[in-house]
Amino acid sequence: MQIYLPIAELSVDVFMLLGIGGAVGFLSGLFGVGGGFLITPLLIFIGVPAPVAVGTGAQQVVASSVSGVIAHWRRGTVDIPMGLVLTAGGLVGSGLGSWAFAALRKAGTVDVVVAISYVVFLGTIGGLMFVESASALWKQHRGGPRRRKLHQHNWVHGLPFKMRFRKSRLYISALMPLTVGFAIGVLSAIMGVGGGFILVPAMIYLLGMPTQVVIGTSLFQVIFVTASVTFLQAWANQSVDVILAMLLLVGSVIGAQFGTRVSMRLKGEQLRVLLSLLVLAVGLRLAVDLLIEPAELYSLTLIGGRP
Amino acid sequence: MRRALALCLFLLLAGVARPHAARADSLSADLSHRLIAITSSFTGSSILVFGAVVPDGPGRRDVVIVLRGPDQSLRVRRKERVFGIWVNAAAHPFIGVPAYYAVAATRPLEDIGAESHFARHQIGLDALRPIDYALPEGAPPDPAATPFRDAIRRLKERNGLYNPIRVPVTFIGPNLFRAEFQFPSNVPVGSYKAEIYLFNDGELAGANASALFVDKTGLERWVFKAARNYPALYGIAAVAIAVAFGWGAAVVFRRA
Repeated sequence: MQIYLPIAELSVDVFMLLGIGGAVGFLSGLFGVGGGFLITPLLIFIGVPAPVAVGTGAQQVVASSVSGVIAHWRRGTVDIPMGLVLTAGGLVGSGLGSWAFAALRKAGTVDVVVAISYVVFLGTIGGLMFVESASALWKQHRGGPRRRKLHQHNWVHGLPFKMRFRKSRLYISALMPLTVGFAIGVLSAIMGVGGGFILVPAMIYLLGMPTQVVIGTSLFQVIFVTASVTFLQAWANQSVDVILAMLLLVGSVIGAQFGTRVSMRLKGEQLRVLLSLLVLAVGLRLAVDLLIEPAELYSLTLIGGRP
Repeated sequence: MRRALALCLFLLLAGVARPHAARADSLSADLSHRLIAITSSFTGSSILVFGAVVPDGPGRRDVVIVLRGPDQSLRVRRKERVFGIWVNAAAHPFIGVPAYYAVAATRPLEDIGAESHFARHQIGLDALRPIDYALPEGAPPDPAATPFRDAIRRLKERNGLYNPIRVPVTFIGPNLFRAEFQFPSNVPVGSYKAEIYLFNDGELAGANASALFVDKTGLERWVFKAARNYPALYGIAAVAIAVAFGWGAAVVFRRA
């Protein structure tokens, strides 16, 4: 069944959109990542113009994140104070990141910087996570010593403005999540993604949060980032297709519920192994795109308007 | 007043009484639709261009029909290898690029033998010359722009927007002709023009033009207009819809 999309200006199959939405929503609920790094390339692949794919992808991620956060919140795995501190840092960071993006664009190096930083980040984070979680899983499998400290104490615990994050079982300086949120805000503005796939490992390894709480809290933060992206894209570029988003939404909100259920059954280490594999796969695909000569070197963009 | 009327009458009579300087063919044509309406079930459309030729005198008659969409300004980018990776590097702007372009003819264009007319009226993809916007007016063409110009044609052909199908103009009997053009589902909205040319042994013997509109209707039009005219409200509504859907799904799943 075909439907015409008024902003993307093409006709696509309804069931394909429901399927794409469902698959991305499932991964979103499972790992706490927004899924923007999956939905945007998938939409471009089926012929949606790039700006519309970015704006509409963001709207779809708002819905799947809301759905996922509510499911996590009922199970007590959302640390709202932590999420708010991360969001505050993220908003400042993305403001600065947008400014840096404009400066890079002026210098004409933006494409190279974005492409390289994407691949380097995905590769490093995916690789480190995979090594850590796979070895944890291996140790557990061999029945080694299970008890370990929640986290190591070092100089960062001497920082001022200490806050108690009950759900995360942490008593740390608010400056830490603020800095993490800020750094991810800068990166996501430059790279044009929500940053969930960087935020999740950062919360696990830098802040020392339990994996289950990380997912709910990351989704909480993703809602704010993607809601602001949706609004800005609609306002500045008129590139949000609500008809397309609604079809993706129906699939993704359902997928997110199933993803959340599955994530509750899995152990933290297993989730981390799977997420690291997903991050590595996306990084590899991007690297291949960059290194192999494309079949078509030329592309067209409308001047003074949308695609 | 009387004098003006007399003058008019005189001119009219003089015109009628004047012997035929040259014999003239008669050409008339029309379109099956004046409006292509894009609705939610739109998957592409077709349009029939038809007409009649009454030849006057000897010679082989050819009908060529050009259907062109609204002009666009495009930036063509080329990927190049920088430090071993492929990124967008060079770019070239063009103006006056038809969003859609299709041509139909009774014979292959090269057999009709009217190259000078084709070039002047931009008949055929080979005659299509998007304007190089990087050049100052009147400057000689820039050879570096050629691959960019070729890319426009190649990419538009791939999207089905340039000459999607090689359509012939067919004659039904001695006088009536018809040609059917296809619009893919990604057809750009705007005003289109169908130009019908009649050639007699490669000489232009008549021309006719009709306008055609491609526009969104119903819900499609409403959403498109809302996004254009009220972008801030539209953005807030988009976020609200997303939150409502997410919330709704969570509530439904709790009960289930």
